[in-house]
Amino acid sequence: MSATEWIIIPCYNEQEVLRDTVCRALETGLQIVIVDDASTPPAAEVLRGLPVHLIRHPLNLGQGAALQTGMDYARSQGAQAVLHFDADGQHRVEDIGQFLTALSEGADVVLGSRFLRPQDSAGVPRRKRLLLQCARCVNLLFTGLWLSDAHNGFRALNRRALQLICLQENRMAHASEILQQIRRHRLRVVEVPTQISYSAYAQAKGQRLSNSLNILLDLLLNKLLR
Amino acid sequence: MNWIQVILILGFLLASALCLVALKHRLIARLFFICQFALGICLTLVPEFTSLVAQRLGVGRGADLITYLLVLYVYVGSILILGKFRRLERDITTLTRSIALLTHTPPPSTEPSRTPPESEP
Repeated sequence: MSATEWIIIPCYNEQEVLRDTVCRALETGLQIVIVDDASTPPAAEVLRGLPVHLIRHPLNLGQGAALQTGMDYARSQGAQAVLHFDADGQHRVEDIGQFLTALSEGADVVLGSRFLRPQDSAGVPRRKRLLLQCARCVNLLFTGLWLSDAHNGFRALNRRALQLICLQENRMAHASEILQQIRRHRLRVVEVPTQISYSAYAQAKGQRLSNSLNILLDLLLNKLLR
Repeated sequence: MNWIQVILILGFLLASALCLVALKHRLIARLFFICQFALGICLTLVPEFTSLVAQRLGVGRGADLITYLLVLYVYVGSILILGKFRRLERDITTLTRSIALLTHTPPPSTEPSRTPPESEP
């Protein structure tokens, strides 16, 4: 197993699909750290016997906080690169290779995008596509980065980015916050095409319009009450 | 003195006492609130003063001026409390993360044996 590249999988009540997702991720041979954000029952129950590092938050904090915990842990273990990977099975393990390739070619941060290849964007539900276009504009306003996708949780960071980025947004607004920090630290960003699998499970767990408004409010509060 | 003035003054005195008890070791906060309550008592005793200030500011009635100031006060207070909550949330996150990292479980193969070594005869 590569001890230098880590996959971080934050999870909260994903018992239904978590073991499957982790088993697929294990095929990459990378180190895997699962951050259980106070799931009930604990994620450890479905991960029994799997060669993964498991961290459990005693309180539910949110995905952003779980990712930061995973990054802190990976950094302390000497990770040279980390990947953010969703627990609900919507990211493809096959795409991991191109993230690592982009890092090896000099990128500090690699962001997955659903809108770089027509076949990937065709799979995005129409309502979601509209919402993501709005989110791109919000990201431009808050971060100054004009990207082809927004709130795609599939990312890779090299050691430098891992040391510089520190997420303060505990919940979903971390996806915009990470862009702010990329901009602030002048990190080199590359987007790579990814396919997202919108299974019924992933759609049911996914972001709703009310959540998007919450993210916007969180970003505003972060700006005002820093 | 009217009954309403008596009730308001008693209310301010009670609030002052609660404030002194609740804000132990916080001199600035205590002084801030006590000054507020003292001002409240003064304005209750001399209501003409608020009317005078209101007319100077172009508001009209003293009661209207108090209402406007109250709305402003509630907004500012809410924002300050929200900021305090954010700071508390940050502290809880740091604490939760520290506990989580201290109690992590490594993969089964690298996990040290939990059974104590057998003592040699």
